[in-house]
Amino acid sequence: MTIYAQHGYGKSDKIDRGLNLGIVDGVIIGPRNEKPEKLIEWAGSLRRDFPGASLLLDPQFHLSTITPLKECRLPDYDYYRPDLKGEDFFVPSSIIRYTSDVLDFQMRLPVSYLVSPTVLIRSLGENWRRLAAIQMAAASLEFKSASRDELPILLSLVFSETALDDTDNLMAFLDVITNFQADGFYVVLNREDGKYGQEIDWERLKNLLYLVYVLAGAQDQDVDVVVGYTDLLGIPLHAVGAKATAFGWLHNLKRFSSKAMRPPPALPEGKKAGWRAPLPRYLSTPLLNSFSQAEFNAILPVVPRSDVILEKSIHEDIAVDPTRDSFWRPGNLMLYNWAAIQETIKDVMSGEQNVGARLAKVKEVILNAENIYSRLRRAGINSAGSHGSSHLNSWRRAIDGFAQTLGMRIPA
Amino acid sequence: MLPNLTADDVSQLLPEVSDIGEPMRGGQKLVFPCTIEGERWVVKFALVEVSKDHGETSEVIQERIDHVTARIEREVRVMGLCDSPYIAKLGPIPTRHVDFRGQSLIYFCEEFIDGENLRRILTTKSILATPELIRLGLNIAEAIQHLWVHRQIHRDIKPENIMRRDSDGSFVLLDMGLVFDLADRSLTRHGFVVGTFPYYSPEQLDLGKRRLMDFRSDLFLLGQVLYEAATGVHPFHRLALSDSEVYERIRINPPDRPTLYRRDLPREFEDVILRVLAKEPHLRYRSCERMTSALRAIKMNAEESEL
Repeated sequence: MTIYAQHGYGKSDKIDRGLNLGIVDGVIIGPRNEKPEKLIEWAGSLRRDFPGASLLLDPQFHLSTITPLKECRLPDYDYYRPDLKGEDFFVPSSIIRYTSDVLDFQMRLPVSYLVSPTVLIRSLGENWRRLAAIQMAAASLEFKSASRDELPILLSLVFSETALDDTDNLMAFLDVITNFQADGFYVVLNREDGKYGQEIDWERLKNLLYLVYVLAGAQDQDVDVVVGYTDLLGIPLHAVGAKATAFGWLHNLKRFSSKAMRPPPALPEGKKAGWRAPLPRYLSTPLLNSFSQAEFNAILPVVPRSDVILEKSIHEDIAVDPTRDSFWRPGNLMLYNWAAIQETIKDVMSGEQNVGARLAKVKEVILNAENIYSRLRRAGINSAGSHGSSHLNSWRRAIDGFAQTLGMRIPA
Repeated sequence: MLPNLTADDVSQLLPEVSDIGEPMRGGQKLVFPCTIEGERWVVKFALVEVSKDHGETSEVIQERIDHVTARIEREVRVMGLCDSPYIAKLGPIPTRHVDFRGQSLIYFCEEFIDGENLRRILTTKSILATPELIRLGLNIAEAIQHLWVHRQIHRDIKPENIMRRDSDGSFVLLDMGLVFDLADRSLTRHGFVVGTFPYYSPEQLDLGKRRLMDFRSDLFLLGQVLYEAATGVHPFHRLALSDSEVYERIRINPPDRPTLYRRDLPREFEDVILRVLAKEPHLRYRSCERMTSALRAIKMNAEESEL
């Protein structure tokens, strides 16, 4: 079980602190917000300072096929191609070139895995995107077999949520992709809604769980699957076979959405665009949700503290006192959030090799959260919207639907 | 339709062949055991055409000739590619066309397997003991793996096409007549369902997915064979079911657990059978090696528990 820090804008010393305390096991480096020379230097220092950490680079090549896009530093990378269209993938030599450029760059970094380039699959019925993703995966394996490097390779797959609506095409796609003898997969779900929150359509989550389970080797569970931008969804995803999950500090590092990467609308002349930092949010694993300080302060007096905070998860070097402002500093909060997720996933995974038994534990976590929400409601705290409990029902339905699809028994 | 030939006819057609035995039926071919330069082989004859007087147009006749010829040539080519103890080997006589008593025939020569057909074993003797089931799974999975190295799919794995050698009890896969070459699209256009009822994979019954078939389709067929060899019952076929109902069961219904019919079957072996009988190819083993590893582990456990 591995928890990665999903790197992006504003890393400060969060990642170093997380690695130092053993709260995260590695880093998924994102080039979009770093200059290439800085990124190379930083990756080198991470390897030097944390030799045991797992490092990989999400090349973010899939952003090449998203328009409009706020590219930030991506154009500084030689492998990046802006504004690619379907016709750019018709010629096999182009695909081979994109792939080798992306992988060549990673060979210069002290990474633990190579990560293949891919395109965003908006719909599995959209032939060129599906075929481009498959061909880039194949070209990446060719590159790997031709290189003398021993680094394992993860095949990237970036799906829009809507692609998961198409179960028939998803099944056919899985037939193809599982025929590749890859060391593993790096999966990202592109959320339709650019806003942060835990809600997800239960059938899409069911298919995401199924996808991860199949990629992980189904019953064998012996293929490395890394899922990026997972936030709390990392808990059920580990249960069905993800070896690693990742999330970061900003909303767009917890939940990937191409909509959130659009350039800001044009402003009238003379007006400057502003940026307001999002409110820091604590990931409450007992409630399976995240809360701002104001929401937290409303909840804390009416339920036992342990109903909101996973106290045992916090490292001894970090005081757990949400009534102190220092708790809410973004750098500290990120450590709490990583630690809380890590602890919950450890609980779910402990001693259980069986996916059904792990999912039973996740369902216990969901039930516990629902009971706490009931107590909150009885105490007059009406949680709704982004900090409500409606997603819990979606999660449970998704888990039951996943088990039903596979004829898998989840012990009561 | 089979050729109308006797051993004497074969002797007349192939003077280099001796000790010609009584013919056996092998799919759409008539099979004659024989000796060539001191070694036992079989010569297989297929009927390309009976006569040109059935009211068919010359184009239709030619298409049939081309089709049969192409299938035999493919069978011979695939055997020529393979070098596995679990796949019948190609013999020393090259493939030839011959016109004989108004029949247009094509023949070729392959390894003589001194043993017994699995269908005959299951029909006249009994279901297989666990060690033999494991050997059957290992040998045929290795044959499937060997074919897949050459990007070939057998598509017609069934008890009739598997022989058990008398010498060492190993199992050999025969009849590459329906082998599907992923690089060759043209040979797939004849016929909707290729294979002999009721040994199909779900994807063989799904026209839309046919081009995406791979070795995992053969693993499904092997699963059906293992199920039947373990229990004496076909996993999907039942008396009084129509063809379409059986197809439906293959595509949609999970089979009964084999231990329902045979309680002493090791649970791990049952799991292997059910794994390869998964409806979705991506839920079966990702490689033949994974299946053979699972079977070897069962074999090792069984041997250790006997000690």
